Amino acid sequence: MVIPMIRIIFIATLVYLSTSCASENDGTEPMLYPLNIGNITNIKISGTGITSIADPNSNILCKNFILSKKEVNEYFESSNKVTKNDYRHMLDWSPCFVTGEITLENGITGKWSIHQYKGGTINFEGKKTIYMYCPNCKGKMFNKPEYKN
Amino acid sequence: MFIIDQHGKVINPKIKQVINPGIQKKQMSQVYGIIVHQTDSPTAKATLNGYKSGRSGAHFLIAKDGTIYQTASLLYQTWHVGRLKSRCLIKMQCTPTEIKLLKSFNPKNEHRREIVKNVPQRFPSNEDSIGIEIIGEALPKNVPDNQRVYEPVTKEQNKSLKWLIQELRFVLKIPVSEVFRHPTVSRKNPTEAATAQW
Repeated sequence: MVIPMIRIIFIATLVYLSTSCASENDGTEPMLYPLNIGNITNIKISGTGITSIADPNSNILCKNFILSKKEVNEYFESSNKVTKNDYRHMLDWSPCFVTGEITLENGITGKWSIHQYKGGTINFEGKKTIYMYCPNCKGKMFNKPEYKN
Repeated sequence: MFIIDQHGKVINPKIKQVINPGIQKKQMSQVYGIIVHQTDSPTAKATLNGYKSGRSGAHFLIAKDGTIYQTASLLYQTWHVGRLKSRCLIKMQCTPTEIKLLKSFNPKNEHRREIVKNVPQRFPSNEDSIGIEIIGEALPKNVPDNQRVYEPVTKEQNKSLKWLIQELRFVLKIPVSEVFRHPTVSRKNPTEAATAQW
C-alpha cells in the first residue's frame, strides 16, 4: 500500500515539475492583471480598419480589420491589464487598429484602441494610459493579417 | 576600450552603474547580438522606476543628455526582445516547409521555431543579446496607440549609442550585422529607435 502511494506521489511530482518547466516564462508572455476600470455603461466604435500613422507603408492591409460591437464588448469583458514595459517588450504590435470611446458608470469617458494582435490601450483624460492584452479573445479578425503582396 | 569585470559590470567612467537585479533573469552564456530600443518614457528616472516591477528591462539605458547607465549585469539575460520574427523571410532563405507554416499566422509558434535555430539563422533573442534602451517617448501622449510615433533620438544619445555599440562589439566580438533596432527582430511600432544611429 505504501509503495504504490510513494509511486503515485513520485509520478505526480514529476508531472508537476515537467508542466511547470514547460510553462516557464521566457520573457515573451506578459504578466496579466485584472482590468479593474469600473463598470462600463457604453462602448462606441468610432473607427475600423485603421492603419497606424507609425506604419503608413506597412505591407499589411488594415482595411478589413473590423471588430463587431459584440467582439469589442467581449474584449473589454475578457481583457487584462499589462504593464507598459511588458506591452512594449513582450507583446506583438500590429499596425491595424479599431478605435472608439468608452463611458464608465461614474460618467468618465475615455478613448480606446485595439490592434489586430489583441493588444490595446485606453486613455481616460488626465490619467496614465492603460495597456491591455486579451489572449483569449476570439474575434474572427484577430491574428489574421492580410498582406498587400 | 572598456573592461567587463567578473560580475558583468562595465568598468568605464562614461558608464554609471544602476544595476537592478530584479530585471536580471537566467545566466547569459553567449552574446550574439545587440538590440536597440526606445523606452516610451520621458526620463531615465521614469524607466528605472518601471524596472522596479522586476520584469522586463534591458542592460543599458541612454538618457536624453547622452548619459549611459548600466541597468543589468552582462552575465544575465534580460527580457527586452519579445517573440522573434522569422529571419529567413528577410534573408529570403525560408524552406518550402517554413513558408507553408508562416502562411498560417501564429507568432507563438513562429517564435518557438526560431528559438531552436542558431544565430545568424535567427535573430538574437532574450537568451543571447544585449538590450540598449534609449530614453524617448511615443508622442503625442495620452492618445490611442495607433496615433503615436516615437520622438527622434537626440544627437547626444546617438553619440553615446555609437560609442557603446563600438565598445561592446569590440570586447564581445559581435559583428555589426547582428546589431538591430527592436522592430526588425520583433513586431513593434516601426518608429521605435528608427532615428538611432551607430
